[in-house]
Amino acid sequence: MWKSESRGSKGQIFTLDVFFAVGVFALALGLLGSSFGELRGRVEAYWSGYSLERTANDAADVLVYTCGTPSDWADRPESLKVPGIAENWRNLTLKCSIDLWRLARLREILRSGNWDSSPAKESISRMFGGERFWIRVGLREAVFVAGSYRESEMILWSFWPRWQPGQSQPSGFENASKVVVVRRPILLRTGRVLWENYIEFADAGTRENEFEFWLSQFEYDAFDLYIRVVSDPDPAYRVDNVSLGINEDPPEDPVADTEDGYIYNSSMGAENAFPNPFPAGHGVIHGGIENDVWLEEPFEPGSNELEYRVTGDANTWALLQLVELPACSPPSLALMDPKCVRTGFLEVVLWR
Amino acid sequence: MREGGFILSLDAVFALLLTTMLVAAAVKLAPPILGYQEHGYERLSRFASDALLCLERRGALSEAIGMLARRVPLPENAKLILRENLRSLLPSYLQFRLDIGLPPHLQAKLKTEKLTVYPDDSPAWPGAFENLEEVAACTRVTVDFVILENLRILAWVDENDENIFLDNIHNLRPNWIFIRTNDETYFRSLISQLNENTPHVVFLPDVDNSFALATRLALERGNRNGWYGVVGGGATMLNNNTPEFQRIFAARLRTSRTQTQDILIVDNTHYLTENFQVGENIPYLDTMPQYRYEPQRRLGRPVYVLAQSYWTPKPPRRRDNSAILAKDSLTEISPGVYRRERATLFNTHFVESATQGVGENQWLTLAIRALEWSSRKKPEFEPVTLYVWRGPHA
Repeated sequence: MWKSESRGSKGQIFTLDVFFAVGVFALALGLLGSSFGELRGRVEAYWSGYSLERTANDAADVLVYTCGTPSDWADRPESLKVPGIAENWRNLTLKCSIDLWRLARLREILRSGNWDSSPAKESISRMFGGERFWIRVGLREAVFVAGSYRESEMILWSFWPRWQPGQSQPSGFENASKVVVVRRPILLRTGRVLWENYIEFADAGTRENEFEFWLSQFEYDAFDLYIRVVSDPDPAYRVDNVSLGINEDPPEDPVADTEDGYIYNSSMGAENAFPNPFPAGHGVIHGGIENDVWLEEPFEPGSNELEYRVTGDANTWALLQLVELPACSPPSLALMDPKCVRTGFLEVVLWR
Repeated sequence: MREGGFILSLDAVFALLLTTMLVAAAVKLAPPILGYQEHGYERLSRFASDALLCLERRGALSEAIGMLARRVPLPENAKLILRENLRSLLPSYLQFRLDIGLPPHLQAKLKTEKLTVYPDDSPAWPGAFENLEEVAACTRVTVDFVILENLRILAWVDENDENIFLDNIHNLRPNWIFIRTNDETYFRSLISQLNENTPHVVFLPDVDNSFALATRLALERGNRNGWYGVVGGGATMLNNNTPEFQRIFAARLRTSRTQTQDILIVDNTHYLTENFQVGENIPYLDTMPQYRYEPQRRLGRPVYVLAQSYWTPKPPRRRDNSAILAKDSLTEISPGVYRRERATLFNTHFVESATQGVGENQWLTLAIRALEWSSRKKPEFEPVTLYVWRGPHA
């Protein structure tokens, strides 16, 4: 203890208790500061996560519950205010049913090369709280087989601002500190039928015809075109062959006339789609007829023609369909019935 | 000696220490992540409502309920369809329970108050469901149980193929009661007053004669009063194109044609056509005529065109032709009391087409749906509830 004595009076200036008190006070102050710091961090993290969750949830709501504003934005993308992709049927919004035309338009807006100059960039960014968003659409199916349920999932279309074919995820996503994924169950079709024709043979014979159509630049960019040939599962009722001329006469020879189109024959099975990864289907694994480099005149923006010749015996039949799949879809999708409504999911991914 | 202040400052230090400890404890005890509790439930809730909506929109709910109501095939198949669809719609980390309330007549037949569907047939699910801490639920109401036991149908039959067609309907709806006649006096006696013998629906598939004015008036009055619905087709309107029949069907006959195409469904949001796709082709015997009707739409009496056919009177000009017309009028006759007036008109000789094997199943389905929809019995509303929760399989 430090004491001072003068003129007979005693004083106590600093005592050990004071030091102890000051020490405890400082410790308490430090603890308080640290606690407040931690609290602040937690509150910030909470609000950051909350806003990310909220934004993702709201964006998913808008995408699957509305057909967008204005409702015809997919035909006039420059007018886009809110990008909903639900189906519109006679001015009735079919919630959770995805419209492929709107989906394809949204993908085209986001595609690298289009995004930065798009007039819709600002409204889309506002909806997602920036450019760090990723939309994934896929199929999910559960089938009861041999006493148990077999579940399968396949992502069909995955896109984000400045996406490019071949990329698997947005750049910078791997360094994200926080990721939020919101998933919604949806109904969707795998493609759009541009044209179809059902041919039935009462007697053996050959039918020949053509289909002329106009392909807009948007359709050319946003979709891959495939020809789907369907015949009977029983080979006895299956047509012999279908010759498909792409802006040319139907090819006569599957080897010599490769540049004119495709030839289906009954040995290829009850269902097939062209182009496909096999040699007779031109070995194309991606991109549809308009990207088939084997063809001399593949489909292009403007006027196009599909000429076909079908040969079959009595009581055989075939269904020909010209199908549009959203660009960069797996070619196997062309084999699926595009009119069938399937179960699937839409995911909105946001990150910081 | 003055020592005041020392004790006070020690108190202050203790108080400060205590406060600090409390604040620190509060911070430590705060929930680690608040996000899940709020968003987790919201996500569950969305999954429940969206999955139920998709189930309904895909037609799986209708199909399953139809199976239950007809009990063909077995009700277990209804479970299978619902389970496959729900497992397809919900991710594997979510489990579900679907409850479908059953109307009294089905409760007695199936010996249960409701149909309950879990992800599989494990007996552990009910126990697991009872002990759930967090579950989201969504309920919708179905009117699909409109399919009626003991529906009484008065049919005008003047050709043998109409008898065959009715037999085919009877095979599919064994509990329906068919009263077949071509005796106009008897026919009129059954439709003229409301009693226990009054039919629920009057079926005029192809009337070859012209009814007397008294019969036409009685039929119109019974339909207008909501006693029974009327389903017509074939040459019924051709032989009875009178103001009474025009009011019953809310349509006027213009002409008939034979060079027509098949029938195409143009609206599948209606009860009659919901089993079909828009654009679906209903094959029709092309040797039989079709009739051109002009819908008579008036205020409060909507007429729905559910299917169309086309012909080209002066090629290439193509004309639409209403092939299935459904009149549905709901009038409030006194506060809270409504009168429903329903009638369905086919522009085809669908009985001949079906009995000769052209579109047989489609015409049978359409006729059954028309009879069900047009019947005066009120539909029964039953709840369908989907519960969704996170967790492993039971």
